[in-house]
Amino acid sequence: MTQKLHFGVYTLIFILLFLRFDWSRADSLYVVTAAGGHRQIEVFDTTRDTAIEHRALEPRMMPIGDAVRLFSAVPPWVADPSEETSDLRRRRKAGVKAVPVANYPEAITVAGRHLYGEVGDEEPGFLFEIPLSAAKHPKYYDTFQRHFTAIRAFNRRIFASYLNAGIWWAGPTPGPAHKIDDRQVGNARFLLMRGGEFRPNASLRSYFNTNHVAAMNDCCTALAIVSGGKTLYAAGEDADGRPALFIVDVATARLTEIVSLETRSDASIADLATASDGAVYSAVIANGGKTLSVYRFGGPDDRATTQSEIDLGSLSPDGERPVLRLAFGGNRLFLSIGDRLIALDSNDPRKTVATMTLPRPPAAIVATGDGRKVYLDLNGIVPVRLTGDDKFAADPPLILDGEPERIAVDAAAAR
Amino acid sequence: MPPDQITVDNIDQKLGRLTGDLATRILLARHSPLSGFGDTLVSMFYQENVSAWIGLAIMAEEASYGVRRTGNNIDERNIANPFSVHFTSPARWPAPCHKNALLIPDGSGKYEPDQSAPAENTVDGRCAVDGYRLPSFAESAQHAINAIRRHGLDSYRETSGYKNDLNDRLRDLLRVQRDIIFGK
Repeated sequence: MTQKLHFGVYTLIFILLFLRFDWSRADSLYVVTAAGGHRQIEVFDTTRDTAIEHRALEPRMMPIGDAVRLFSAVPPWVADPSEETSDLRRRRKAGVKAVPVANYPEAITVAGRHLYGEVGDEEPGFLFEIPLSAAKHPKYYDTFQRHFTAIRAFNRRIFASYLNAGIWWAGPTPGPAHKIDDRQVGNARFLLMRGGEFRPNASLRSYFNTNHVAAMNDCCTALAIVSGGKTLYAAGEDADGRPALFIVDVATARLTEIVSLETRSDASIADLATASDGAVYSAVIANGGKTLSVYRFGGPDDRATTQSEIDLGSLSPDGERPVLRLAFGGNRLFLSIGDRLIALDSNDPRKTVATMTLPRPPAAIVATGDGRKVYLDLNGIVPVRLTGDDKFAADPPLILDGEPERIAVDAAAAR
Repeated sequence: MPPDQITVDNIDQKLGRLTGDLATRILLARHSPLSGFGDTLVSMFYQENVSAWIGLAIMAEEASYGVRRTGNNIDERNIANPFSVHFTSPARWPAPCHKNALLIPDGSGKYEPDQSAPAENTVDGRCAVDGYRLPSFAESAQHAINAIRRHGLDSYRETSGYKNDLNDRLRDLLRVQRDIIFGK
């Protein structure tokens, strides 16, 4: 009898633990909002779109000497160079030891219960890491770069790209951020991809080996880390003006491969998205914005590549390259093209699953890991469900405590 | 001419001066919205004894020739000020408007972000401001020239190596646009 009771109690505990475990695997949506000059991180459970956490995004408190150094780094062609630091120097003389530095992130990403962001656009930048599951202090890594473009993280290693200034990495150990070396590329593979077939790109290899130029002069506008966390893909152009993927080994932060895409002359990579099976989707837009090619790289067999060409037709206004953003979830590839939201079947991207007209082009789009929902930044954060019969259904905007500025999803499957 | 021998210091001697026509054709080939300023670029830089090739390389490095793409964050302020001249401190401006440092002070000016632009990277409406405006191409170029003459090229970036980066830019340009530059 006692044994049966014990068995029953253990079974109940097991079921409760299982339920709790299952609940904890729901995706979370992170929204940075601003209100009254302050910023906060608001966290939502994506199953019910209910707020589950709220915390202040505190300004970075920086020793005043470091702040002077940071802002002194602004190039001296400012009309009045002293404007950058005179106030800081005055306050240092007055005995101020530390100053708050703006905490406005240009972008955020969430991985492994840490939130990462980049601060600084037209001024020297830095990266931050905020632990979400423990009351630990944030970490900061200075990059001193301007013109931020993208950020990704895996296993507490952060990668941030800056327009035409390459990729910088930092963490998990403390210390300054480093630029990925794109000058010493002798060991990197140079490949040219045409119609799904790869061949060595001897011409480009020879050019780099002879001229010792940097490989990522026109990089990077988008970053993606494959789910396994082994490699980072960066979108840019090669030295022949072709769209190119720069592939970096995450563990060693080394550039290992440059894959150039042989395609239309005006083609460029609009965005990258990571799939749950380890593949990377690359959206290439060309033909005056009329043609979208979706490339799928990697995955379980690492080198499989498929390409699907999609005629954007009337979706693309004449003479304008449409805004295009990409997100992946489940077996769905979500595209926002201008003011249209489209779900494609990732197994055959030529197959449109659902479409919806939006009130305006979204500033950002993120998808849940199961592909059942996307969140769009349309001046408010709007959840859009993909129903069982493959139709889009918009829900009311999330109720936030401030103006939304950045969003990111921590997909449970990717934790 | 092997590209690795080309530098910002010798390109005029090795390759000849950049002409307005050539600058225009290069900018057109790059799909740049600034292709109408080829002549202005060349005349202003050479007038101050700074190679216009350097000006072209800075436009590439700082603003991707003003070509807007998803993710590159190039907006109308970068296009108006492709040399990234800071007329004020970025820190003076509230987030998300630090890029207003690219605006030129003008008591009678008014900056209203173009919200109707259908292309990428529309500027946040909160960045509207009185007393400032978008600079002209010539104003951006003139302040860039002043900075180069007073402080040197390496002062153009927070970290060292800007001159090397511009050398790379020129070498890439000679490769990508070789048909236009060498007339082949």
